Amino acid sequence: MRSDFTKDKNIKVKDVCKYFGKTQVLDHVNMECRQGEITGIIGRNGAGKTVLFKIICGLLSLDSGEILINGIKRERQADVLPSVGIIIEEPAFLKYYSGIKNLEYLYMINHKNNRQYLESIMEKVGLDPKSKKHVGKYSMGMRQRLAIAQSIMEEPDFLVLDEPFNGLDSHGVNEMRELFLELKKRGKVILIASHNSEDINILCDNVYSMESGVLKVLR
Amino acid sequence: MNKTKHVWQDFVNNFFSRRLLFFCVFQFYILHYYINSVKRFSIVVDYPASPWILPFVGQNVYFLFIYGISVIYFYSNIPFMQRNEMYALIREGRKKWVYAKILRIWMSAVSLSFIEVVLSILPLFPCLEWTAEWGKLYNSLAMTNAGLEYNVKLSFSYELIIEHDPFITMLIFGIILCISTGLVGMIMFAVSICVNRTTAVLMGTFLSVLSVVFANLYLYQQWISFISPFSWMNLLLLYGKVCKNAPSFSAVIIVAAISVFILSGISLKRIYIKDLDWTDEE
Repeated sequence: MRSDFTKDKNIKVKDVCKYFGKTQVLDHVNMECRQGEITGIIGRNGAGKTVLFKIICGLLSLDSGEILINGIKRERQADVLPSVGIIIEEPAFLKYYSGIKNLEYLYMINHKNNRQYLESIMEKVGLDPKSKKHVGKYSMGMRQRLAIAQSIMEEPDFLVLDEPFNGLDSHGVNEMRELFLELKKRGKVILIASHNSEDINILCDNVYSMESGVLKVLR
Repeated sequence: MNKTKHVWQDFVNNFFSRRLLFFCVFQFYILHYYINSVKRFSIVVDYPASPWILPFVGQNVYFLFIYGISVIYFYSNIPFMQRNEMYALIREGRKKWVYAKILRIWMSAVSLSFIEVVLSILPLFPCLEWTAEWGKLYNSLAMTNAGLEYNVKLSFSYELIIEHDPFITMLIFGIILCISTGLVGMIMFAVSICVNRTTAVLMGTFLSVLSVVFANLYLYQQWISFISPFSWMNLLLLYGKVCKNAPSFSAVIIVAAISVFILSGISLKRIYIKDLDWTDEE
């Protein structure tokens, strides 16, 4: 896994602006996320974190500036970011399927089904893979764990995680922190946003704060 | 194999929904309303009813309008940006995601058409007789004014019965039903990607109303028949019995094929510049 480091995966955000109508939601944002590091953004709700994450993932277009993935500029009409695991906004799954069925459904898009592997991923995030409980009946914390499972299950190069600790109890938060640190060691490019500065301070190598669309370097 | 399985699962997950339930209930009610009058006549004259009634129902403009509205309601979740789709789209990429949704639209169109055929047969029980002929009942209704006397709410075309085989007619009707349904779904999908969902639903509603407009203006504005997919379900129109300048069955196939090609192209091109916003509703 360490050999991946030589490829030097990274995301660079250069002078990015985004408007919704006349409202500027991102104001000349600059940041860099490097391989084997966790980059964190602290900011209140509505500060623009989610919009920035959506732009990085290729779900929203940018009005000016550029995004470089592994040093290559993304075209304005580019597809979604390849090899990315995401949690953006609330986790949403097929309500009438169990957790493992949901993972299988998504995993099958690009891979041959591997139930044993997916069960191990569920165990990794603290969910019972044998449970037949529908996701619609999951607690917020369980849905969050499942969202984390879907984001990491394909070993993506990039992890873009918006409020990944939402709904988790303190034990769950600790477990997920350990998981993200392990992924960091394995050379993933990890970007986390949270309104809780404690999560960010403990986990992140680089810390930014965002307020009204303006991103500032904190550490 | 996995891709096929995923497309199938995607279709199943979205097809069996509350929207399908409403579609079925609504269509069953409207079909029952029209067909029950035929069944009552069948009981009075003691002639069994053959299952090939749907092409005659298709000649009723109000049925066409209500079918159109039901289809639009079924497709009203376009452009399929429910929140759980985000995880699928990020894995498929925009292009493959659009292909999967187009496939979903057509698989839904085929299934809705099949359901419509089944729902048209159900109200005929217990007077139903499985026969390859039109049957004495529809012949009587076409050749006499008994329908008026017994308040039968459908008109039975004598030309259709005399000139066309019931099985072939039903097959053609099924194909047209499927094409109209799928094409309207495609139009709504493309409009929802290019503009927004509200405009797409309004566009669908316009197409539905167009069948009523054409039924009232067919003597003066015959060109409307070419752009009104729900009007095509009136087979008399395709057989040239309604007006001179009307599309034939093969013209409908060609118009639909060209439209699908163009609409797919537009959807594929526009998806790359669309900001992807997600909704919570199913």
